[in-house]
Amino acid sequence: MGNAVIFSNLYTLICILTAAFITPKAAIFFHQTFGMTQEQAFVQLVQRNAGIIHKVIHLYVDHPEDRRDLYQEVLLQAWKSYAAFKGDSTFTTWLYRVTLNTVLTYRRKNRIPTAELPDKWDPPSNPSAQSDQSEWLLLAIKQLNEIDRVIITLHLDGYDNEEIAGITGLNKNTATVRLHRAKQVIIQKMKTWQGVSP
Amino acid sequence: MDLQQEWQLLQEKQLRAPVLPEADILIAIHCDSQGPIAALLKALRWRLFFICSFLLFGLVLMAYSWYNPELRLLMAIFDGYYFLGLLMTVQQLFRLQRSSNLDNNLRFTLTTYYRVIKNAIRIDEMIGLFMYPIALVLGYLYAGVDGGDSLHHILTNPQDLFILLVVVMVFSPIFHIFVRWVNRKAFSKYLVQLKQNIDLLE
Repeated sequence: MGNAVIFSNLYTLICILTAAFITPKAAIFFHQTFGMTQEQAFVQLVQRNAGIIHKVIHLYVDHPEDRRDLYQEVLLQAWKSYAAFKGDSTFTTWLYRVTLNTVLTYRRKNRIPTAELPDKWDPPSNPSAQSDQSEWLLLAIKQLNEIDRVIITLHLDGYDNEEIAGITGLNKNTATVRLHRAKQVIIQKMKTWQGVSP
Repeated sequence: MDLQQEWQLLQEKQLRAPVLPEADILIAIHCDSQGPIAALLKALRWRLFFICSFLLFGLVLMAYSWYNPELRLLMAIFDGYYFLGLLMTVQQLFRLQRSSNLDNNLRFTLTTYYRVIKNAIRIDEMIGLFMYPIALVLGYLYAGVDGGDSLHHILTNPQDLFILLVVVMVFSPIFHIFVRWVNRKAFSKYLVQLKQNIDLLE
């Protein structure tokens, strides 16, 4: 019993020292040697939901370097907020919220204005192909303003209007109206592109 | 047009996430943040370091010149100003640390970031406007008194007064403009980005 207490205190001390002063590689070494249950649980949850982070970053950032930096930042912010995660919502919803907050508060160094996209983009050559339609959808979403992009992405991922309002901080009615308008814009754009492609 | 179907297809192809190795996650969560709040915190910690150093320096000088009432008064003013700067910086540091939580709703997060960064810039500019010129003036007075002149003599001598006036008139705007320029370069685009999104959420 006494040894266990000493070992546990020693382990905590090593973890604190590792987190505070030593390199990430050393932290991983301690993690692999002694095991950290909270970290392991977090890693597993993030691995299962990595699609959310990847998707949101892909929708907001075009430069590969920015994407890499943001990926790391989202993981760090999620880990920092994880201790406060009480399970009031599902981990997926919580991670969505942290990811959106991190992406929209991040200073992007190599930002490409999305307003420039329509002029530079040529419609795909074969409009009947299913993959082209989904590419159009991606481009149409990317041309929306950043908040409408949040709303439509959440909607397409199956969140209802109340949940969208909860994540964005809009009231339910405004979220519903904004969603409806964003959908109309996307459909209109996709129809236009369908018309101009050869 | 079925957007839901296209979205599913998109997720299976273009938006499909690559496997995220455990080692990469562990490295990421033990790295330093590159976010704007982290950048401000870093700058604030440096400012805190300099303020503490100057405060300590001022206290040592005050102790050194304890038997000269004029020097003691000058150093007391110097320390008072830096103590005020210390309080403002510590308060700002706590406020920033509290606002770094990112699991609130988007509107709240964006508004908090906007407010906190604007406030940090405002305090920074205020410190730039007052702290450095006052330190220069007090330094000049200290050198004069330490050199044998009385404070009364320096403050009534037109030549010394002219130098002090020039120091205040020239250095105050220079420091202020410099601090504004640095902050604008670092944060103006970012604040516009935040403001646009906040407006969209109103």
